[in-house]
Amino acid sequence: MTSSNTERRRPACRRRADGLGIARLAAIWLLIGGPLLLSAAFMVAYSVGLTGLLAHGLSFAAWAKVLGDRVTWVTLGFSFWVGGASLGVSMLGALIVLARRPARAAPPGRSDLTPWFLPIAVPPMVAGLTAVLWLGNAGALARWAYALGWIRRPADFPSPIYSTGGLGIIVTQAALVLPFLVVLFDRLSRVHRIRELGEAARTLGASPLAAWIRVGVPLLLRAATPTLGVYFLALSGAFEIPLLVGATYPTMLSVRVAQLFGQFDLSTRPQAYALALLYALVASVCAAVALRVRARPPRTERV
Amino acid sequence: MRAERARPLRRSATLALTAAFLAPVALLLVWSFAGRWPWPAPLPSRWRASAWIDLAGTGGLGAAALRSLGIATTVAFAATGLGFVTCRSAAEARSRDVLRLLLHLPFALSPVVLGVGLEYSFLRAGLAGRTAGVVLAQGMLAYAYALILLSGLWNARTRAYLEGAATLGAAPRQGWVLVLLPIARPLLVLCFVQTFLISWFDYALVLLIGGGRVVTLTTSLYQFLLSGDLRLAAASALLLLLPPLVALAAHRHLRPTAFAADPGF
Amino acid sequence: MPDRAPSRGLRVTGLAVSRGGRAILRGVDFAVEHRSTLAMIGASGSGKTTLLRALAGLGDVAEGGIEVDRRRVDRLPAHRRGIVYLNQEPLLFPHLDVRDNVAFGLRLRRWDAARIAAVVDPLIAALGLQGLDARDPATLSGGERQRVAFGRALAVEPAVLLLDEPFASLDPATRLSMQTLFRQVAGSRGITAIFVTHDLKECLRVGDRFAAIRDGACRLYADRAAFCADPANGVADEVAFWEAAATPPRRD
Repeated sequence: MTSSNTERRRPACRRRADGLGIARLAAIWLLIGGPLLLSAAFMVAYSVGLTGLLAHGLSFAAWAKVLGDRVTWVTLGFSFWVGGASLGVSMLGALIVLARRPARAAPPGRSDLTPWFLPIAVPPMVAGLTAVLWLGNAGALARWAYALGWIRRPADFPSPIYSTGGLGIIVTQAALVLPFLVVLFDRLSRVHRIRELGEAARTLGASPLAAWIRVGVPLLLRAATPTLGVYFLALSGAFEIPLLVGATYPTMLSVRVAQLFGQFDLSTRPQAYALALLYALVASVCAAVALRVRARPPRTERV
Repeated sequence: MRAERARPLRRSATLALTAAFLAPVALLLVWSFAGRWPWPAPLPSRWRASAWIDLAGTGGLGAAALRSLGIATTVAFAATGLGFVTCRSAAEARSRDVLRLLLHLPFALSPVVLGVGLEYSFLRAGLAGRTAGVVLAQGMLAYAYALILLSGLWNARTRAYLEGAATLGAAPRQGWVLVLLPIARPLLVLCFVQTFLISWFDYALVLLIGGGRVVTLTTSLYQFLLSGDLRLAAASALLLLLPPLVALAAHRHLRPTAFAADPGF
Repeated sequence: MPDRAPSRGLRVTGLAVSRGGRAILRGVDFAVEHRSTLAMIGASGSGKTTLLRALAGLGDVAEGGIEVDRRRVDRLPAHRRGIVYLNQEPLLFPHLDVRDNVAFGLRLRRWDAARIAAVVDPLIAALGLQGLDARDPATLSGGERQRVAFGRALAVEPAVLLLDEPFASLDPATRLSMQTLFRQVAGSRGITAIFVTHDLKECLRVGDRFAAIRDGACRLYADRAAFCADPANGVADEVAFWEAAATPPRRD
């Protein structure tokens, strides 16, 4: 049989769907890949002085400035520190919250996680504002501490807001992400049947805690790695919370890029593009690594 | 036995969670009505409802809220609709690994990096500083999310349903309308809510693409905060919380199906 | 190798399916007479599901000829073949109640309510589903679900009905009653069917004619005796087992 003959015998509805499918796939690449590529190209061109209002022809001055500036590396390091710490704290919290769940027989398909969904309704901008209003030096807690006679001046209150170590950002981000991770881990533990596997470990002699630490946690972390990777990057590149809660130095990457980009004279724009590109490069590599190690649940051919 | 003992513990955890959420909301409410609240008074010394009266007046908060609502609704409709039509191609694409990376990139990159990058091409296209530009930029983000979520629809079971309908005589279009659409409905509602929130929550893209000329609730909140008007900032924050809470309350009644539990990417 | 060409019914010639360069089905030829059931036995992985899906026009690209009532259908899309494929899992549409599931194919044909009722009501009665009309499929038992799926298939009066181990996930008692029900309904409604199973007893209970599928090749038997006589089908083993089991162990 020749290949054309095989093609002819293909049921008509499938062949048409394939043609449409290619068009749809092209639309996806065009709508998401197109803008990304175009942006990257413009950013490269702008950062090396090939385009833009102040362009004077090819020049790597902006790149030299960004790469040679200590602030760049402090900013990157600080961003990843805050991202990692936020994720670490919230992950630990979520694993502790769920440690008891596998032992329980949850009704199939339903879980009583509704209160966990509440913080999902909070925009990062609002989370930043409430952090300032609660935890700031003039915030509600500081006022009550004063009323109780614990402090005498706003500066006496040990506020995590504007701390140079990023404590305020980490606390706020971790609180915001924790519920997402609880919901994610809960779903994954059902997909991967972690309760049943934990019970199997129990019958083999593992204590509830040992079953959770030796079976539940490793399985969950492996299954969640891609999502956790994307979360890590989202937390490292976050904008609103660092903007509201962060110190003036060191700043996180998003704040730094926005500063360089938004200043009144346009001379720092090429640096903003260079820094943004640098981060985009690092983040893309991280994302590629995180998404590749995804643990696929077994897909069955038949129903 | 375990479940019996766990119940009060679970109830107290629920209570603590709800309190942890309600306390900030309560503080925002107090601030939005605070007339004067100098340090170190534990409570405002005077109360005013001016922030809320401003909502209906010329202060711009009401207009910003309406603009946010309009932008988010447009983004959610476009992203969910387009996502539904194209999600099968995404789910069955041969280059799934690359596509998955592409769809996650807009989220993995910082919104500021994305906004800074898009701004220049949008400026060239005459879209910067305009609401349409903001819708387009957020729409790209929301569309990527919609594809990630909706491609989960195309599992073996959905295909079997469609095949079953086909052997009973359903043409492809009938299969989509009579079988796929009803099956997908909960996931589509979820997708609509989530893409709405992507737009509703966004600050960076409005700031960078809108360039200060497109004023939404998030940008007003920040402006009020900068100008020291905590009363209006708190009122903006409460307005920002309203639609997600309504969606969440409604979402409890949407029975999550098995489809929602298995995103394709 | 059809021994005689049936005037009506299903006729398959040289059907072949390959996947990724590997042949799943090789030159399958057989025919099913009008109003009769061909029971086909095959182990898992023998290609039986592939065969049924190819006949229904689902999935892989197939070569070869498929004729239904002297009409070539192998180039038609699934929804125009008049061949209904009944999955092992009932796969009732979760958004429709029992009655609407049964009526699904008729709604597609835009029949009016009275005409639909004239077909669906007797069918629901014949399948013992009275009183379950308005039930959500999720609330049904396994046997009930399979009966609804069966009714949904019968309602469109398919030229050929393909059953892919439809009762495999049922408990033995329900299974037996479903096999009896199938024989009854298939007989009274004159259905042309292929019933694929890996269960020897089920095969012998439901079939008028018999076939076996092994390694992607299909063998059609002249009659029941010929099927039982082929040692590959395991009838002799089964008989020997029960004879041995019935014989009291000898004590020396």
